[in-house]
Amino acid sequence: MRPVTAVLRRPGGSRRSSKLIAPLCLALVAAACSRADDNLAGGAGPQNTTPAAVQELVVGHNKDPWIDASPGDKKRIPSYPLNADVCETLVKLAPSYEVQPSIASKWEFVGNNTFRFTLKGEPKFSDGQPVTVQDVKYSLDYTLQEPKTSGFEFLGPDSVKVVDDKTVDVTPSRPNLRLVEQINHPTFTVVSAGSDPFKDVMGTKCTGPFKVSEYVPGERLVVVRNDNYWGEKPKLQKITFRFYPDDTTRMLALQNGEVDLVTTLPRAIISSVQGQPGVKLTESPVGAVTLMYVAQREASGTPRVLSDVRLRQAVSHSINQKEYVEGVLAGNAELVETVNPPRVLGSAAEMVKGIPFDPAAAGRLLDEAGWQAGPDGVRAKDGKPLALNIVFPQGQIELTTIEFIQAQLKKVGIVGNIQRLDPGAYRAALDNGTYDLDVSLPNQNDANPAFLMALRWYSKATGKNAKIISPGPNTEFERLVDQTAQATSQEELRRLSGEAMHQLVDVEASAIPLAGISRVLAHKNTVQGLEVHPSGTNQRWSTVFMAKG
Amino acid sequence: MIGYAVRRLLGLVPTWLGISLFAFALSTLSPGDPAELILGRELDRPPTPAQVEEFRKRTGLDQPFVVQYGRFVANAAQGDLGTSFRSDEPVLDELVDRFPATLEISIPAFLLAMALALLIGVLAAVRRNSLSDHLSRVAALLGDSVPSFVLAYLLIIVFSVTLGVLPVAGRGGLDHLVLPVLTLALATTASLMRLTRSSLLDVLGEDYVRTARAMGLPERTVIARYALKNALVAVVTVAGLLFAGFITGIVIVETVFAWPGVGRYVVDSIFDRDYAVIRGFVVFTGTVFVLINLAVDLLYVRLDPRVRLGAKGGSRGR
Repeated sequence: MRPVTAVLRRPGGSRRSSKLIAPLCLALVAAACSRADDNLAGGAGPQNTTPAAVQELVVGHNKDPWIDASPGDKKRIPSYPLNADVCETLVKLAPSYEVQPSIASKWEFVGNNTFRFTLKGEPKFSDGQPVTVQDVKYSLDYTLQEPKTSGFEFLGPDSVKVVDDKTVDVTPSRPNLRLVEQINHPTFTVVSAGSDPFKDVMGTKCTGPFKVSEYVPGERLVVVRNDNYWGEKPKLQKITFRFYPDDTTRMLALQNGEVDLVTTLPRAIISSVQGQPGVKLTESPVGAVTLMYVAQREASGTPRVLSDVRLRQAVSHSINQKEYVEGVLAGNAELVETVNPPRVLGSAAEMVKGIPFDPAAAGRLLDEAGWQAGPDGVRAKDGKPLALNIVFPQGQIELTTIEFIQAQLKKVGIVGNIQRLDPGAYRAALDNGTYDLDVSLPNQNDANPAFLMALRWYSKATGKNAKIISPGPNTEFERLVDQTAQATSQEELRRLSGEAMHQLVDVEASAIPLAGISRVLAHKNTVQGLEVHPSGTNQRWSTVFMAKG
Repeated sequence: MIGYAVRRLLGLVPTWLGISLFAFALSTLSPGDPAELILGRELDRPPTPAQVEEFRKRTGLDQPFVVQYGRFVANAAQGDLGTSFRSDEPVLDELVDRFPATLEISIPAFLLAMALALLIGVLAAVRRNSLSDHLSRVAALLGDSVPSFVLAYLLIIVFSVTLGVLPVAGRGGLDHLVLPVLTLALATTASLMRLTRSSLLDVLGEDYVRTARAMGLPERTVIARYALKNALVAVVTVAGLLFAGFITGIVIVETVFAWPGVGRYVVDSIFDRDYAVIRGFVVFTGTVFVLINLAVDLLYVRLDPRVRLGAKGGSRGR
């Protein structure tokens, strides 16, 4: 785990009164922190690793996934997105983004677009019943039976066939060799045949280290150790997930000792937590990349200003990533050139060079495209100023990031109009293509390095937005993404993904990576054995234990 | 009195229709397609056009505005506020499920605000320009100017983090009620307190108060039986509106204190463009609002005989 070190700094020039709220909240938290030392066990000295007599962990989480999420998320609860470690899949995703055995001990490609999974003998459900191939078939078929989600596209009604009492064959509904990298998603958790997790969360039997004990909507989910667990037994006896929608309150609950650990820690709050006695920050490797999606055309097909590749490259040249990572994010991020975590690509990540920060080159490209700087420094063409609409999802991306981009664009003569939108308006802007730059933070939640490219920029992806940001149907990028679905080895997959990403970032400038972001959890010193998973959907709690204070 | 109440009730019908039309139009005109938004979240990726079309058909979003509105009004009049796009549950059930949690903090907060406002307001009025009056003015200024979320954090820092005597957040025993109720009450007390003071000062200058004093009645009796009762007319009117405002303005308190009430639910629904919930909530709270106003007006009649007699001036009831 890499320690979180520096203190967040704001870029200059932000003095508006509307921006006082966040600093005020942080100041309040900081004030609380300075008085809260006595409430927290541990202190800054050597940590006690002797297990405490009571092995109970209280986690402060931002929202109740049943109440605050959509029905599609509800069905996967408590495996997703809460990560209560209650359910498991055929294969699991390691923090290294490699696929590892879980309920299935092995898998192989047997031709005809089919993968064969062999089950381990020992997995049992929380009621002690063994996991059978019929349960696996039921669980995968179940993803198709649900009224609205219709499953993920790669499974169809005839996809799952039982071969014998240890083996199942899974054939995607269309040629797709990425099945194994994708099937570790919590949507495909194995439940006991006949369970209906969509309607009956409490009655659903799963296979994880913990099992659900109590659920109070909007308030808490309690899971307890599953004594029938077939793998390594968890050290904790009980985990209580309490829901605190407000970031500041969640941190105050940690200061107060009401919770032992908080998840979903906003970057802006990190600075107020650092250095507090008794509180520790634990960080995962990079699991997501803050990046700019570039809109080239509207949903109607009308080209937008950034349909000109020279302008896209100019925008990319104008952003000083190093200054962003070291200044705005105070070093709490990594410089990356890829659109997803580099470790998913392995050595192929080096194929993506990134467009270097070079304002002079940006200026030349803009001149060449006919956008001349006026007396006020703003570039214009045919009397029309060069202005870009920048949208971002509230809560995921902080305003300081957008202001930084705006300031960088201004230096090369581009006006950045910031549009802070609520989720509904944001979604509408994305769907209609009424923006130029969308700053977002997509997570890498499976082992497929081409997943994000195939989801967002691939013109054959479903949804209008792909067509808005796609480099186009007959490009080299498109050809390479097509090929990733048929790669037969991880090496080939990574190479093709690296080449496609090179086209996307270096040639087309359709994506502009800003920083590699990790997950950060704040917890008491007494919480030990924590390994933070970089993915947003694969956190494990089995190794965690409470030490004596 | 009954005739008056019936007339007022009938008068509420056009108001209610106006509220429902406003809610319906506003939610429909806001940017963002609920089909795209909700399906996008459910699927973890953009929905296909076929999925969007199926969703619109299932939820009635494919119908013209007038048809949708007409159906909504007809159903709402029978207590059916529609079905949530997100949860597939009846909106009324969802609101009713969460309303007790909201009332759990709003009723005690209202009562506490009223008690504090009357106590301090009367004290400030009868001891005009004294130290207590000046202090109450400062307190009112602070109460009015400090945003409720800041007040909430301050209370948490003092009572939960520093003193450790109360829980930070969450719904539980009586101790969990203290901070959200205090936050909500203190934010409202300031304005009510100043109103009580000014109303009482106005009344204290009236002839009948002077007469009561001239008759040798004790000052406490003059204040309690004659002055305060008349001063309360304005206070009750405003307090009724404030209580209705509690229900709609409780979002911040519920969010900060992780209180699973109706406010948080509705904000999330707004973000998700769950039109059914937004409309249902506006109509639901609008109905509560107008009924509380009606109750206040009826109480007003009890407090002010001039209203009951329909007279503009005079005080024949005294």
